[in-house]
Amino acid sequence: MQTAKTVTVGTMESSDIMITLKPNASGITIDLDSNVKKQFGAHITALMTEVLQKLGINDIAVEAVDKGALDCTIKARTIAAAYRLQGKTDYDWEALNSWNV
Amino acid sequence: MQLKRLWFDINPTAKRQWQTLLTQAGLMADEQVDYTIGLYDDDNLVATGSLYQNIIKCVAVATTETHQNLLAPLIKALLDQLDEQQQSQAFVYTKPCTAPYFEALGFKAVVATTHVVLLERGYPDLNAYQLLLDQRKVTSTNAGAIVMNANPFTNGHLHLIQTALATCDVVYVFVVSEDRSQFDTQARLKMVQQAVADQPRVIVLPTNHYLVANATFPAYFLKDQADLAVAKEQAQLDATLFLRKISPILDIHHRFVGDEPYSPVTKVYNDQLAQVLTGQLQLTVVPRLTVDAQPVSATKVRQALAANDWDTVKKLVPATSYHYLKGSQPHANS
Repeated sequence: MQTAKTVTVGTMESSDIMITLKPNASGITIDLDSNVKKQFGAHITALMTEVLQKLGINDIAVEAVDKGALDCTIKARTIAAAYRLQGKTDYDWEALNSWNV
Repeated sequence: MQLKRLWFDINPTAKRQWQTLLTQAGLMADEQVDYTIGLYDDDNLVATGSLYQNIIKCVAVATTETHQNLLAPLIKALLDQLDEQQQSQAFVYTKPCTAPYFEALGFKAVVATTHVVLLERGYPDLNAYQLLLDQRKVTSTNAGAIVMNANPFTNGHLHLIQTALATCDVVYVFVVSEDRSQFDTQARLKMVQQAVADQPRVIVLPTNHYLVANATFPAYFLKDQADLAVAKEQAQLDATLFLRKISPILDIHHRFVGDEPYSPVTKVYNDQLAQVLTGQLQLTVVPRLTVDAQPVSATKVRQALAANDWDTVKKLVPATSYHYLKGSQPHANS
């Protein structure tokens, strides 16, 4: 899916993550800025990639400013960003919940 | 802690508090702002930030409150405001020592000099602009570049382009994208494109904010500097940005600027440009074209337009611009 739009979700408060989605020609590129990048950078990147792919987004540039967000926060923010990018508000809770099994 | 918009016109107390806070932070209270917010602790203003177009400026946090990370909510609120205006791109000019605070909030440095750093956030970014330049690139052995506002496009601009064409095989003409002139960006681009339509060796490009304009360069953080010293900083930043980020993409070897005999600021600009480009890019200052022993300038054309003096306009602009101006008459002051 390709889009010319860019969206930003989240805040820069402690324990939150601010995610910006920008158009990208091909593939998912993630530019992560985090104070725990050394410890969890790879994990956070993998988590966001997984969520995006599950939502069918394969070509996107992600810019994330992480202030120590937990996995649930990262997931929720990524989902919200992806939905907002497509202008969708009808969250498919059934599908989203099924990931947690 | 409460976030509020500050209205200077109707709230002189807020304005005084704002000025005091900025002065304490070592900044000058620059009132060229469109939108200002403040964080209040009871009745005390403890942090503030402003927008001017899509430039974040006048950001200060009271020294007693620096432990609370007030910068994050402040910048977030400013970004939200930009978002509301459909602006997805934000810029910050700041001192090198405070740049890391902005980088921690997701800003990326575009270019830096000894005293100033320009950072950006959002999209389209410098990468996107460089991609656009790369798409428009033409193979050349000695490419030249000219930056112009073309407000409106005159015979002087045409003369500059022709002078460049005499020594260069390809000439890139950058038309300033900032929309703060009498003729809007589209009109100025169009006039330039029409004038060089028969010239395949001339490529017309937008600057998309990646030209540091004197008018938008916020100098308030360079305290204790006279106007000319400020112009020097702006020129240095602009020249560095051009040299490092733009000219390598297009393989530019030569830059041309018009001579401005009456403006000391432009002289400072040209001097700085020459200094930064030394040894890397050739700089040629082209003397002004004269008509009836008078230098041609866009200012003069605008004056003639305002006075409905079409004979003078005809003498100063190429036929393409003349037709365009006659057709659109954007100055209509009736």
